[in-house]
Amino acid sequence: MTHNDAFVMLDAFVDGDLPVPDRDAVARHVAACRECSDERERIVALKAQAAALPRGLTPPVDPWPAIAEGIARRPVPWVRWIGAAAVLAAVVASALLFEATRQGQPDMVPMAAGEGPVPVRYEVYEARYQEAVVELEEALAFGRERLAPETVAIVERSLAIVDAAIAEARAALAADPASAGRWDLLSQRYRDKLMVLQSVSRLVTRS
Amino acid sequence: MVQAAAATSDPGQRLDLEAAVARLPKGAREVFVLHDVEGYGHAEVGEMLGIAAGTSKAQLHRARRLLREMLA
Repeated sequence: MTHNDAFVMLDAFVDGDLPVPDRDAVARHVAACRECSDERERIVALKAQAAALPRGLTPPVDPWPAIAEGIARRPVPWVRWIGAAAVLAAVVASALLFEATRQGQPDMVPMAAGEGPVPVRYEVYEARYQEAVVELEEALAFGRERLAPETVAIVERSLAIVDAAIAEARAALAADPASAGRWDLLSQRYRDKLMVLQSVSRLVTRS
Repeated sequence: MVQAAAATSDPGQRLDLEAAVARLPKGAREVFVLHDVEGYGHAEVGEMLGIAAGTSKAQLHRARRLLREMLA
């Protein structure tokens, strides 16, 4: 096996996707080749870093154009609103539970013992979330007119609760950008908002 | 070199990776997120995206190479 052959197989080798003969040949080459050995380590490290990302943080496939198209195309079977209302109730319950929990917590998240300063560039982070939020809100705009007014009111109330929590977490982080705990708090609040929006999107799409 | 042990605890590194992933070409990004973040196999990724498993592997290879270049 040549160096180039082994090098291009390293991803599959790390993933355990190679058939046994190729796997053994690559393993022998890696053991003898510093460049391939280093590359294998970089792949392993990248995989570990990727696996540590929060699942669902990045929509793997941008579904929202399809959602908007589907909402615009589909008729409205109003009878499904009974089931839809149940789903929405669960979403709202989550938001209210979150709000109740939030009110019971201290305003500031303390730093963990021994935790040192970390490079927090939350503007970039927020921009990514806000981009996703805008996409979801635009998709929802297509279907919102089909929701009952009382349903829209509940959705808006839920979003207002989450928005208030985001503002609070953002202020806490701005006061101490080096706090990983506050970073995680803001991250979770944005995920809360995406969860609400995605739940409502699914609800509208199924209607 | 990226240290795996630090990957789980450093928000800065996490941000760097998230920003780099966001800059990937669409096909590579979709496969990388589904395979390496969400943990799906190539057969499942191929089914979800409507591509062959071999294409998924090629896109993953491309994504990882680009990410390593961006994060170097």
